[in-house]
Order: sequence, then structure tokens, then C-alpha cells
Amino acid sequence: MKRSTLNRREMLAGVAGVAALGGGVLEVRNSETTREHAGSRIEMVVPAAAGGGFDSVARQAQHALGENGLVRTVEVVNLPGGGGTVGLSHMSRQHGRSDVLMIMGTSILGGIRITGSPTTLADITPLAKLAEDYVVVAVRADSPVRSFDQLADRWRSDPRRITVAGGAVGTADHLTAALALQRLGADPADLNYIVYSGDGEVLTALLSHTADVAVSSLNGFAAQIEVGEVRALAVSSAHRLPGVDVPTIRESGLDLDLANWRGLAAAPGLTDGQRRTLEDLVRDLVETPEWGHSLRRFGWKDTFSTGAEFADFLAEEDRRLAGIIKGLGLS
Amino acid sequence: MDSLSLLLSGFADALTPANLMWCLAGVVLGTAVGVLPGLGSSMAVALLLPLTFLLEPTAAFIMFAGIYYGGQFGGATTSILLNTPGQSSSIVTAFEGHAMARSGRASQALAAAVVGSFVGGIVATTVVAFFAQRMVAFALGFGPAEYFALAMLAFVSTAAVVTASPLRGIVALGIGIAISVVGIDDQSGAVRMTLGVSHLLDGIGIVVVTVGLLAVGEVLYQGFRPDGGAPVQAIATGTPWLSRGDLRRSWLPWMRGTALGLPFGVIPAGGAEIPTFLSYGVEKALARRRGNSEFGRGAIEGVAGPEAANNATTATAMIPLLGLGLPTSATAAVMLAAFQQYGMQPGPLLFENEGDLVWALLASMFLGTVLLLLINLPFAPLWARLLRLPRRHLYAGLLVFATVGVYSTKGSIFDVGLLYAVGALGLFMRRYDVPVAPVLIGVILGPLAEGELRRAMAAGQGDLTVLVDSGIAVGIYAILAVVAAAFAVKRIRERAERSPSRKAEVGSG
Repeated sequence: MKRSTLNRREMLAGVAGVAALGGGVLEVRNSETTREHAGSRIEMVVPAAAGGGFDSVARQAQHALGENGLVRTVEVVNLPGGGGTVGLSHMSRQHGRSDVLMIMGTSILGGIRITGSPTTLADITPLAKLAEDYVVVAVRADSPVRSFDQLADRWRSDPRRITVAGGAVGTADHLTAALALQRLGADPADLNYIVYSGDGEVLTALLSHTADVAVSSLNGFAAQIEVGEVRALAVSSAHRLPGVDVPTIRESGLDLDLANWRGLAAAPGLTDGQRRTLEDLVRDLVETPEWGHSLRRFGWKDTFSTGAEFADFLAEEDRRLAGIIKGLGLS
Repeated sequence: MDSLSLLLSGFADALTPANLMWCLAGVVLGTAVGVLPGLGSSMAVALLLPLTFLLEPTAAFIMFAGIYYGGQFGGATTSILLNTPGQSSSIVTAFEGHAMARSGRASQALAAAVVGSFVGGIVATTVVAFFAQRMVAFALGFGPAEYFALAMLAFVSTAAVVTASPLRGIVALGIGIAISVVGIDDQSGAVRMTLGVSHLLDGIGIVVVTVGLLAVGEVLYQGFRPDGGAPVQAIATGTPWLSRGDLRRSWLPWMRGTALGLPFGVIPAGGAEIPTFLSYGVEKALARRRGNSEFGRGAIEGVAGPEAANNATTATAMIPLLGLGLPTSATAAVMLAAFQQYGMQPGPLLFENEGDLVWALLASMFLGTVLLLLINLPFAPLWARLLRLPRRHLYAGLLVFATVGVYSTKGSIFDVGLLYAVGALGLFMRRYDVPVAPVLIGVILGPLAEGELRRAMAAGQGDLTVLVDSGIAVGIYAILAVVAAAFAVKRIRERAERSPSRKAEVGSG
């Protein structure tokens, strides 16, 4: 019988092997046992794919929090899909957990409205607004379209012929494209819009000739614009951005400006104390030199607000976006 | 040659004793995290990323490469020993690797995997170093129609052709695709097939399905068998290392796997799964043609090929990352974040602006690959000893291990329940001879196929001809047609030869 020949030494070797595997488990679990103490570990939920605008905010915050010892470990969790509602519904189930933060912004508000998501901002705890950036309308360098006005002419006459790539439904990308088409006098329902998760994928769609026009965050396209592979036609800001030699959509006579703001939300069901602790953490975050550095590098406008000021902004923004989405026939 | 001298100066930067230490530490840590189910190399990199920030860039990248390759190997180790893949790209390794382990050839399977990773990694890193700039153009030839064609090729060649019964293969593929559509739809945000259960809004995780079907399903199946408590089969004595016969059988699959994997890393959204499935399919078909197939009972070709393909893909994934700033995998996305942390912006300007760092990174990828081989090869027989535990103890440990692994990915008890439900499904599939592999292929590639088809349709405004509008897509469909035709001819001939006694081939697992 083979079983009886299993000798002691071999048993030990086997046990050692299992212990080694178990050690691996413990190593990872260790970082989780400290869950109760906010400050030692934070899980940052990104309701979008890695590599996009939300993801950049999370990873820059991760860096700034870690470098300054504000939080020992920040773990970024990407939950893309459904216009951000996949991440939102995950967040809404983290009741009472003071060690989870989620990146939120324009796209989430739009995503909730458009998808008719059963989970809304009422199911989480919005904390603060961190920064704003803007959407760029761009074409490939080899495109015959040289200016936003030229694009407008073609778009107006035959909207379905122009394939537009951008972020998920309800994002600032999507809303900018749909609004622009509506302001041009065409039916926004004719917008031929292809959804991608993240600026990187939008860029590939443009460069691989899948899409004619890309609508995405200005920062994600900066390198390609610089080397001349991509031509920026217009940005969605109300006024020209400092240091960016690209006209605004407004300059082409369209009543359209849209900021893509990013902020943070916490889990539902927090006590006032938990909430204040997290607000203080965010306040500390935006004051770190690392965060300031990130703002400059990514071209984000510092628009930090929290508390009542942020709540007012959020209510107003939600109303405005709901109006836009209804007007576009998207909801 | 210009690139060569730049690479050599990269080695000069990278090859210091301290850096080698970091690489070593990275390999060990990466392997430790990689053996956990659900925590593959991308998770290992993400978890250990904060650690690397303490170092100066060159040392950090070297440690990074170590963690990454260590994580890859860790995933393969559990696939082979415990039938529990650490990540989706080592699922295929479990099919034949675990069968080898059960017949006492675990250390050979591990060695074939680690050498395969080495071959794939080295060849692919060389390609990255010398052809990165040129291959970026190739990446941009892929649009939605081409991705859809690729997914179809993977479906047909693995689900229908590789399994013994095409009908059962397609049924299993259907189950996989059905599982993959559960949750909130990416493109429209619509909620699908959640049966009103809010936990299912995020969908059913690949980890849950993989670990459930392969590990839990296998344990339940063994447990329900009359001889469930039977001792482990004889552990083969003799060389714990690849014999000359093993090498002769492995070297061509290593090469073929590498060749298959190379182009897939370059195309964005390709991922490492398709080439591993394809490599498995190719090796199985070739073995069948030679007439001495051991597939299903532990064929070393089925480990060597996919592991080489896996690592070749992950190394060439650096091309779109460095050249375009495009992360094509979760790991690449984490690396992108690391680049940005050091103030580098991957993209068309990277090689000009940050040349020194890039070449040091490439050099450290070479070092990581070599160190992985040196460190892990001696460990293969040691790991293999794990299987000498009495089977019931091993299975009990495996269940604990699978449960903890799934729980730790999201901290969800619901997922653990789901794990056992999927495990029960795996039990019945084994009982009724339905192959498990196509389910996994459906779960992983179903969303890719669906999403790209919808994008292609949107871009073409509903015109079906966009699917065959490019040379690449037509070429892929042509390969698909040849594969299907060759298979059909073979089956008809087989049936004619021995119609009554058709040998039932044991499915994977």
C-alpha cells in the first residue's frame, strides 16, 4: 500500500508547504484586520476602469495620502461599468464602513439619471468636491476636419455619419457630445456615440480609425496633442484655459460649457463623528504638496468644497444635469 | 546597433547588488501573493505598489518586474497543484497541469511552466526592446470588428474543437456566456439577469466562477465518489526535473506558445487569456494528429505552451503601455500609475523624454525573468511534495483556501455562497461529462465579444458588413474556417473508422 509508505519526513514537507501557502494568506489578511481604525487603511472605490480620469484622481489621492502618512494603506478598487452605477451600487452596500471612499463626479450624476439606476446619491454620503477638468473634442491628425466649425457643418448635415468615441453614458464626454449636437440644431438622438471605459480606450478608438471624433478629458490626450498625432478642436470650458492653445466650444457660437468635476463620497449610514473624520481627512489631503503637484500636472482646477457649500452645489448640479439629460431625451 | 547599446546601458544601471536584492525580494513576495486564488500578478503588483515608492525609480521598477513575474508563477503553481488558478491567464495551465500533478508529475509540470514563462518572457522582452516603436502601428490596426473576430476564433477553436463532444462544448460555452451577462451592462447601464438580487449588480466574478468550477467542483466530485478517501497516487520517483523526453516534448510548445502570445500583448484589450486558450487548442490538436495524445491525462505540452503564451503576452503588453500610454491589462494600469508617480507620462514622447528609465525598466524585465527561473526551478520539487498529503487533508485545506481567497477579494459572504453554488454546478458537469473549460472561456471572452460586436455595429450604423471590412478580420475568419473544416473532416473520418466504440475522452479537470 502506498499510503503506508508516506513517511514522517514527507509529511513534514507537505505540512511545511501548506504552512507556506497559509503564510501567504495571512500576509494579505493582516492588512485587513485593522479595518476598524480609519486612518490606517482606506479602500478607494473607482467606479470606472483603470487609466481614466476617475482612476487618476484616486491614484493621485492614494499617493498624497500615503506620502504624508495620513493613511497607511490606500487600496484602489476599480469597479467599472453602467455609467458608474456598478461602483455606486457596491458603495451603497458598505453600510457604516468608515474606511471606504468612492470617487464621484459629473459622470455619476449623469449615469444615475440615464440608466434609471435604483441606487442614487441618497444611498451614499457625498463628502467633497476636489477638482474640475474639461472635455476636449478632438480628431486624428490626418482628418480633413481642421476646426470645430468645420466639424459642426458636417455633423449638422449628417449626424449619423460621424462616429464619436467617448466615456460611458452620462459622463461629461457623452453629455458634451449630445449637447453640442443639440445646440447645432440636430436631433441628439442621432448621435452615433460609442462607449469606452477610460481615456486610453477612447484614444485607441480614435487612432485606430474606429471613431472619427473623440470626446474625452483634455489631460488624457495631452501627449498625443503635443506630438501632433491628435488635433484638438475645442474644449468645454467657459473661457480659454491658461496655457492651453485650444479654443472653447463657446467661441464657435454654441451655448455650451461643461465642467467635469471630481469629488469623494463615503459609505451610507455613517455617524456624524465618522463623517467629520473623513471630511477632515479630505481637507488634509487637498492641503498636501503632493496633491497640489498633481493638480498642476493633470491640469485640474482646484475647486475644493465640502459641507453645506458642497451639498448646495450638488443639488444645483443634479438639477442642471437632469434638465440637460431630459432635454436631450436621454433619460 | 543603437537600441542594443541603449539596452546595455540600461543593464549597467540595473545590475547592482542592491537592485538584485530588490528583484529577489519582489519575486518572493510576488510568488507569495500569487498563490492565493483570486490574487494574481496584477493584484500582487497593486498590493505591493506602495512598497516600491520608497525606492528610487530604477530599483522600484526592478522590484516591480520581480513581483510581477513572481505573481505569474504563483498563479501557475496553484493551478497545477490545487487546480485553483490564481488568475484568469493561468486557468488553462490547470487543465493539464493538475492532471499531471495527480499522476505524480507535479514537479515536471511546474518546471515546464517556469521554463515556459522564461522562454516567453525573454523572447517577448527582446521584441519589446527592439521593435516597440514599430509594433505600435500594428496595435492600431485592431478595431471592434477585429476583436470580435478574435473572440469568435477563440470560442470555436476551444469550445467546439478542443472538447470531445462539440455539442457539450457549445452547451458549456453557453452557460459561460450566460453567467457573464449577469449584472449592469457596461454600455447601456441596463440591469440584466440579476433576478432582483442586488449583490448580482456587479456581476459574477471570474474568480468565483473559476475557483468554484475547478477547485470546489473537483473536491465535491471526489468527495461523492465511492473511493473518495483513496490515497494519493504513486508519486513518481526518479528525476524531479524535466527528463530528456519531457524537454523534447516541451520545446516546440514553448516556441509555439511564445509566437502565439507575442502579438496579443500588443493589441489593446487583447489580454493574456485568448493566446493561452489558443495555445492549448493548438497543442491538443497537434497531439491528436500525432496519435499519442495524453491530453486529459496530463500532457506536458498543455502546460508548456499556454504558460509561454501567457508570459509572452504580458511582456509585450509593455508596447502599448510605453508607446501609447495605453494600459492593456490591470497590471499595466497599475504600472501606468507607477510611471505617473515618478512624473513620467507614457506615450509617444516617453522614449525621447525618459529614455534612461525606460531602458533600465526593459533591462530589469530581463533580470526579473532570469531570476524567476533561477529561484523557482529548485522549488518545483519542493512545492510538488504538497501533494503527498493524504487526499482528504489536502482537499479540506483546499476548500479553506478557496473560501478565504474568494472572501478576501471583495469581503462578501454572498460571493462565498455563490462559490459553492458554482461548485455544485461543477460537480454535476463532471458527473455528466460536460467539459468545464468552455464555461470559463465564455465567462472571460463573452463580455469582450458582446461589447465589441455592439461597438462594431454602432460604428457601422447597423451594417453587418463592417465585421468583414478589414483584411485582419477576414484573415482571422479564414483561419477559423480552416480550423473548423479540418476538424470536421477529421471527425467524419474517425467516425467512419470506429463507429461503434467511440472512445469517450475525459474532459478537462
